[in-house]
Amino acid sequence: MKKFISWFVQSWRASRQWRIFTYSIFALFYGLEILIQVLDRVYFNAAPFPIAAVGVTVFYFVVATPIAYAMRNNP
Amino acid sequence: MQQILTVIGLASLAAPLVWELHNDRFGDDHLSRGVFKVMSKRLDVWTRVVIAVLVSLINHYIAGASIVASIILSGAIHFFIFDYAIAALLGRSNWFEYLGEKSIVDNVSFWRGISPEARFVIRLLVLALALVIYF
Repeated sequence: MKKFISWFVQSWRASRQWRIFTYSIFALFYGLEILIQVLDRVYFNAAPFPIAAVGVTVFYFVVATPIAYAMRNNP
Repeated sequence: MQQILTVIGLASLAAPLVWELHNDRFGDDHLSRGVFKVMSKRLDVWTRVVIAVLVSLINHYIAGASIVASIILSGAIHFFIFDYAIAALLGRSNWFEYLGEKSIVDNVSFWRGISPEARFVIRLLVLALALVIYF
């Protein structure tokens, strides 16, 4: 248990930039989804586009995973 | 169907980024441009612009998106991802701090002087603005 906690703390500290990068993108897409849905409902009555679902999926598989794979020996 | 076309159109806006990553995969110092015996930097930029305009026209045709907004979003995607992706591709350990040496933006002293986190926030804001303009 002690080993696991120290491993977890160490990885958490080492991955700080990666967490900033990934979670900011997630937050951006979900935030935009809310903003655009509200604006569309209030002003345009337009058909919604699931920007968060599409954006996060595309980002995760097309951007984050290849970068993480390329960085696997260079954290 | 319309939403699938919208997604395809959006994904195609990353074409300049993909092309530039492929072009710079061994670094940007070489002059391996085949028949084009011109300064590589200038040719790189213009090829990117041409690809961006082409995919924006396609996007306008298949998804009905604005051409200008598409070009802006395409540039913002490139601006946001390129430095991180190329640093990872070239195997640099400092992927979050990495900056190119030759481009104009990378040599503005303000841009070089601020912290990597601040650069990331600026990139993120540019992408957010482009997405808001696009949608």
